[in-house]
Amino acid sequence: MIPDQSETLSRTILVLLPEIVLALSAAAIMVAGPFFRRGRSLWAGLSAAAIGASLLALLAVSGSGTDAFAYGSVALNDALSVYGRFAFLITGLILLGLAHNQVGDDRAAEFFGALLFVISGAMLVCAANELIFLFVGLELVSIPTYLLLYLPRRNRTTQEATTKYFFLSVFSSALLLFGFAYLYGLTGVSNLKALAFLMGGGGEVITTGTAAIGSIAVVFVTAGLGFRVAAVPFHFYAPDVYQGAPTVITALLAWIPKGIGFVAMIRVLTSVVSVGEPMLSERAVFLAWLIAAATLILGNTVALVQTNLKRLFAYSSIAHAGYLMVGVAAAFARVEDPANLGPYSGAEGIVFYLAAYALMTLGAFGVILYLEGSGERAETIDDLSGLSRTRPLLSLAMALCLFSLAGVPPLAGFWGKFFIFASAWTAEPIQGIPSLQLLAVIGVINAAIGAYYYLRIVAAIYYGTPARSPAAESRSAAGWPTAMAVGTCAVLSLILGLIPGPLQSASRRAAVAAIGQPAPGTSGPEGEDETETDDVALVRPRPVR
Amino acid sequence: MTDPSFPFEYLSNYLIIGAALMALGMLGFLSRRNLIVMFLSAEMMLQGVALTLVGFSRYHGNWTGQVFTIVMLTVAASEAALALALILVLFHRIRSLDVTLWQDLRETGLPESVDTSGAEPYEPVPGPESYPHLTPSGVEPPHPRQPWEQRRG
Amino acid sequence: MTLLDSRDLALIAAIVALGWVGIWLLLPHRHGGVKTARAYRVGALLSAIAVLLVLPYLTPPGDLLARLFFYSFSLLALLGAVLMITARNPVNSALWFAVVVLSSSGLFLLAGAQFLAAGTVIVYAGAIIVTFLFVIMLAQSHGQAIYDRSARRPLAASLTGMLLLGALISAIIAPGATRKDGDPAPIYSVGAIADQPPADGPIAAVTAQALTETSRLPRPLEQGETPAHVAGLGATLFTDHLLTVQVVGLLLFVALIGAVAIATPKAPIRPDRSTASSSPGSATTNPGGVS
Repeated sequence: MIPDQSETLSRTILVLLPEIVLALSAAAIMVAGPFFRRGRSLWAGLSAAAIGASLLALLAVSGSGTDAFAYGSVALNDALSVYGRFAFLITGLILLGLAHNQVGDDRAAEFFGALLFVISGAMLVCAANELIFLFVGLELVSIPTYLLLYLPRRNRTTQEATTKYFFLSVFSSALLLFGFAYLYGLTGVSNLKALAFLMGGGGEVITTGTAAIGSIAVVFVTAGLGFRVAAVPFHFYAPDVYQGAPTVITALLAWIPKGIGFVAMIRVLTSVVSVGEPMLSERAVFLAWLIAAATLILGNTVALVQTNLKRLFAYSSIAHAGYLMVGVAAAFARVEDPANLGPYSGAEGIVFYLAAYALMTLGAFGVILYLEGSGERAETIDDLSGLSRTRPLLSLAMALCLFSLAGVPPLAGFWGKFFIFASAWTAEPIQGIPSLQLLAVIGVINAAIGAYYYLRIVAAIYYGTPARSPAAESRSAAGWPTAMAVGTCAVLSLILGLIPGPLQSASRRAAVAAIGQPAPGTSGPEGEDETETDDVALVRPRPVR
Repeated sequence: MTDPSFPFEYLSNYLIIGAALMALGMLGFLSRRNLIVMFLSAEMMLQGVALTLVGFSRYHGNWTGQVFTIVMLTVAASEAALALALILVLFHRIRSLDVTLWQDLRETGLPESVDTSGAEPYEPVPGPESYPHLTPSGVEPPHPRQPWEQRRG
Repeated sequence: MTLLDSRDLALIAAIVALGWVGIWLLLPHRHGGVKTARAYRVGALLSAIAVLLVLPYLTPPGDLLARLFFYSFSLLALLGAVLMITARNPVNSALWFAVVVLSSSGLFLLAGAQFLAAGTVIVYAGAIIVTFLFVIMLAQSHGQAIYDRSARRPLAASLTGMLLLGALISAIIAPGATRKDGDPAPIYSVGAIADQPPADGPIAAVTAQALTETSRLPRPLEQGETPAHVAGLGATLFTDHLLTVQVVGLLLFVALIGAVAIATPKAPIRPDRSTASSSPGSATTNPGGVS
């Protein structure tokens, strides 16, 4: 039976319980802020409790399937949604640990409330199955982000960073919306699973206008999301904003917009385009090919000459957007049978890479934050030189994160790069555009270039001479939540590198779920045969108007 | 076709006007230097999107495009609230709405992307640049006066 | 993929070229230099021709009255847009933006979106633009500042914008350009399935699920029926998109808190250990600053 609207709605609300918990706590914290004169530790603790409660709620609802509602509901509970939301909650906890002492008491409630809103927006994006819902999820991330950028410090640099980010984000929202409008116009449904199903339906669905209208949609959605993930040619704001923002917000900007940008690309673009019109898919691959190559080359080469740590990480994050775009290019390639992906799929590589990227980049920024928190300078590479003498454990964590970013074998970053390049390498060649194998080769060369500047930092940490006086080591520690967050990132990078199996199977399931199309009107993945769908296809009687 | 009174040709009317507003808004966003005008240009891009959505909504015969437009209006309103707050704060700091003043953060060694030092002095000419000239009357106020043409805003 | 014939290509190239030069002439000078009145006249002429050249791509809708309104609203929207981005005075820009909003509301009405037309007029023209005017008055020093008299790379920016417009127009008209009567519509519409009597097959099932009864526009009216317009929009807004509406509520809440938190000039007095918030405006005090 086709589930009726109220049942769909109540099931969707159930599925979205974690976000609801988080958003309500955030609203409560923001409202309570002006009335209770407490220090920031209370608000940080409450936020941690809210994330914990949301995590519990996510575990509780994780078993509840939504396949029966896939074509009618605004949110899904498939593997991509569950794992993505889990990842954003965990990284949210890490970010909270990094941020716990980064804001003055007077702004703490608003700051932590906004942080919770950002996390819940990111989770909504993971779960979203509808264009409008996805868009409000994206906005629920960006609007609190402006607040987070602005609140901790109000000097001229921060204001400049906020202004740049705000205006470009508004601009990119407009581009994204234009793309969404055309995506909606392709068939007239805004439900993403239904859109993918119709596009894959062939027959009369694909008409003369599909390629033209679809190309507009792909170009503009890629442009709008390209701003969020900082891909060339929409990267130019990233170094300035990263440098000007408070470090903890830089960490947040390096991870959350990039994460949701790519998750949204998987949800909106690759799942729809790769099953649809072949010509559209070819154009999309070509577009992603160009963006990926340009992003990789620009990010890595410009990062070579940077000395400011935050700018260096900004260019490194641009380069990582390039690796992920390689995965997007592979994921755009046409999939004949959504139920049967090849041995390596682009979406799988993207999900794996995102998880690894989150850990390593948050860990690296966490080390910088830890140093700043204990009163040391950590602005340029030279400031880090000789760090291993004074802080061996912290240096080890930094080295692990940097090796992982560089893609050195036994670490998580290596496997991420491996899966992405493997998916590009095994993709079917398409006539008329440069092959994806060439893109994979460009990626490998760039990974080698990228290793240089990461290893330069590691070399400075272990072999450089400390510039500061040894007395500095008697400085106070930065607080246990920061240390714990850094430790978690480094250890998880190592563990996931040594045992990539679970994460790999999880990302596999997420990729399959993202592109999979449950049989319409049935409740389980088993109901594939046509007789059931025929039975179900009876449309509800239309009331007479 | 759902609605024979709104065929594809009518839809493409809306798409073309929407695309034109989008492109012109983008042009304004890229070329103007006043923060407020930049934001208005971004809003005009949204108007182009709204026309596109309404056209598609009518063409496909469902409400989704109009719902999308309502959501978009709301989001635009929230962004406008933040933009105005931000613009006021920025104006308080540097007494100017010039976006090119905010380029302290940039690649070391590169010049400012917009060089304003070569600006010619303002000479009112007859035409849209000039303002009506009123004869000053009353006592000159005692405050130190700097001609506004020499200020950067 | 259908290709455009040479006439269309020439027309689009003309739109791009004329619009490029025209808007470049209309935009402020790169370094704030003074442009002669003749430059403005030529620019206005070229831009007007470019705007008029867009018109052949528009199909006249409906009867005479509908055509009249459609063409006047379209022209007004395009001209208002050109004038908005080229106006020297931000107040004029805001007012031209109001013209754009009002004329696109008219186009909404012609497309049968009454509620949106009213809502756009109220929200945009009534609230947002007035607030913007207020802020312009608050933040604008009298006379024209240098940043209003100069533009960032006007030549490149107008080329980019016009090229984008040309590409978009050609992509939009390409599907319909070679279509003959009787061919299927260039874009598939789920409305086609939704309107048929109960159909079989997975596509119909998916469509029925994705496109619920509440989310469809009302049928064209018979004589003597009252349209259920706003009621229909409300029904779909609060059934199919209920969760979206809730999240939009959260967005408004965050924006409210955010605007207050950003605009508050000084930190509220609470027990704090460390807040070094510089008082705004003290960084660069302008002796003659008038606010």
